[in-house]
Amino acid sequence: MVVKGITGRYSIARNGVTDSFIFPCKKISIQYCNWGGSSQGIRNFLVSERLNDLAKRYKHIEFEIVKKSGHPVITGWYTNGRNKPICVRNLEPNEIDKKLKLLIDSSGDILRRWTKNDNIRSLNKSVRGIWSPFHAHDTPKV
Amino acid sequence: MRLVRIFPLPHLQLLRITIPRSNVNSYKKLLLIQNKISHYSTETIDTNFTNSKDIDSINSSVKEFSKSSQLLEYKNYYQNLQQTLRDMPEDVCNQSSALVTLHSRLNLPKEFSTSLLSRCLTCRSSNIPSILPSTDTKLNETYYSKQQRDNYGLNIFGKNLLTFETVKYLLQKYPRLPTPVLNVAINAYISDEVLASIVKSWGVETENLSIMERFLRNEPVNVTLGKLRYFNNLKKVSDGIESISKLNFSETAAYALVIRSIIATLWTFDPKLSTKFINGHILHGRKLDITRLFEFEQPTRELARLCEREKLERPVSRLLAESGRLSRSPVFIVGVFSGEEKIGEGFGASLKEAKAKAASDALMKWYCYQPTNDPSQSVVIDPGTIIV
Amino acid sequence: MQRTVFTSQSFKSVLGAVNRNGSVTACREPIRLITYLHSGSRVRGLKRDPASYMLNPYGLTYESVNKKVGSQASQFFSKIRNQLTFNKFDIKIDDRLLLQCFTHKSFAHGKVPYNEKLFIIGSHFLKVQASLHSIKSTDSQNSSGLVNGMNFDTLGSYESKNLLAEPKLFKFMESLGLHELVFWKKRDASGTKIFNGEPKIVSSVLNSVVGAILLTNGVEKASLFVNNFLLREHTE
Repeated sequence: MVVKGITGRYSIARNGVTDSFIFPCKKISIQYCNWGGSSQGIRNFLVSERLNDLAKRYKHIEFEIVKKSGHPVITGWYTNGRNKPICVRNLEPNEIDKKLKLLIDSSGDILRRWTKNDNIRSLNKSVRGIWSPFHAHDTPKV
Repeated sequence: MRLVRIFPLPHLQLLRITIPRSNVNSYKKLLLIQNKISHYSTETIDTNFTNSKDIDSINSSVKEFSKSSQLLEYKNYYQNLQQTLRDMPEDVCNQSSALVTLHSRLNLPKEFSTSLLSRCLTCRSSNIPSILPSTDTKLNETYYSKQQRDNYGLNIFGKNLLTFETVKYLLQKYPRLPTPVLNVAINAYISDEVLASIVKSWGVETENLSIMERFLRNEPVNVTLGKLRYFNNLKKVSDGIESISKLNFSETAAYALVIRSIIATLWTFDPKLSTKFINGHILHGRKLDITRLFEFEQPTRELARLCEREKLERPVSRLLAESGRLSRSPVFIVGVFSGEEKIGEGFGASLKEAKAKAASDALMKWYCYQPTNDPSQSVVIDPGTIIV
Repeated sequence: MQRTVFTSQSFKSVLGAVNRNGSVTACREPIRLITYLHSGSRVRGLKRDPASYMLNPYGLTYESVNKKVGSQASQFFSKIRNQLTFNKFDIKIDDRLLLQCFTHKSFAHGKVPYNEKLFIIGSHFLKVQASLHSIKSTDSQNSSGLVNGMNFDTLGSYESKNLLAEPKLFKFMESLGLHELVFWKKRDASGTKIFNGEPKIVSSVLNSVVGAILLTNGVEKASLFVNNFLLREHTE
């Protein structure tokens, strides 16, 4: 046998191609302080029904509340293994709600500035192929 | 630090985890003593214990603490944990936020109870012995028992099912794939590493804390139920020397058990569910470029044998185009022809390289042939890989 | 010593250039080839007569079976079909595929179609069916570990692993007399059965028959064949 297989190459995940989609945000932890003034907003947020509504709406996200001194921080944990902490000191419940939405909607990837020519990113090869000067004169057959 | 967990369930409730501050110091002492007891009882060689005075002092403190209520509390916690892990009651499992959210994240059917999901996370090696183990997880021995509900049998069935589905998928898509490449492709889809990375992306965590640490944190039992439990210490005794090795069972293997047992459990409800799960998460849901798995050693020779076997005209390589033959960077384009038909094309910086690439291209087109989805086409059955 | 001599016109290929319009400018020189086919003891560098190696260890020639008509060919295929009770399960496999199932990779240096790929898919299908058999056939002694009424604890035991293992399948094929119909080549003509790997080769034939049924007749017929024929015959 002459043909061999190259080991150590694995299949690449492409979440969302099939209907079995895994939501990127898996856990959100809310850290607050019971004493500090910067936590006043988040304390109001926790006392209200907002978090229960969120927990009911996003059943696939685990919400964890941590009491710790210092400025309040909300952290999102993602399926790609990264996390995203946001400091919410001195923020009103409405603003905290927006920050939570931001965490929920994020893919967990680091923020990048994509250049203009980089609009399409794909795992697949170009359908048209790469232009070659040696084949440019071939008249296409219909 | 106080921990409160909220989970999305009708019976939404808050759990408060508090450690009484007054007891923290005595717990620490208890932890220390517990460590020493285990060292002493397992007769591990330890230079610290050669002094008889030390042993006496330990004995006295052991006596002191055996009376104390904290040891009793710990014993109760331990037995409760053991009981819960053995029975996996539905109501305790439903309180675990990790289990409930994982269930919802994977979109599992309602019949698939959280108790079954917790069973999928239980490896046979994770059984807790009835004797109190050492607080240092590194020193404990893996303990096997068939009493507990675990994923052992589920994993075996899930593995058989998964391998069959993968082979079927690959052979239907690429009927002429050579066996070494087929094996590598199967591995690329369902090796332990790939399966573990899938399960990790679902947010499954392993249980890293010893029972004593969980007790000190006053952690509810349902937290343990929502984590992947395995243990990989293997104790060997040779010439009276006990050694503990970690080669028994890796974290990757433990993670791979989870997805296989979930597949097996889904199969018990409906075989269609397991097929859909496999396709969605492992086969169609992931991409593999099959052409990158090939390595040809003698492509021209192999192509000649192929044409001989398939009764095609023998392959002839011809130069199609070239540029800069005498320059520093020449380019040659060679096509390989069988009769009038061009069966492959390749480029290279030398005629030899271009010829080999053209032959590889032709072979690749043969091996990676994909039948049409048209049902009128009869099943393609491969006559076999070319033997040179 | 038998000598076979034949001549043929062949062309020596020259790496030539092709114009853009496709015409070949390279020269081709015709040469005469005479091939001597050697039979008998092997001589290095001499081409062997196909008649000397296209036969299986029990003396059955591949040519006699590969013909479309002929008494030996029809006998060969009808024996396989009868012994494996294809009619009972309404299984239809054409002669060429059946011959491929009964040809091992070692035969004729892979020049004729062989059963490797069919064996792979067939063996994995058999593994699934065997584990299903042991899940369903066990009595529920310890009912604590049931998953949806099925007992998975029996898997991984010695009995379960060896349900459709190689020695069992070989014995089965021997009892049906089908082991003589397999086309393969011995590693060493004077070696023992185990040394030559006969049990493995013969059991792979049965696996590939299952694979062929699966690919051409569908999952239902294949699982019926395995459960009502292979697994039943074993237990009796």
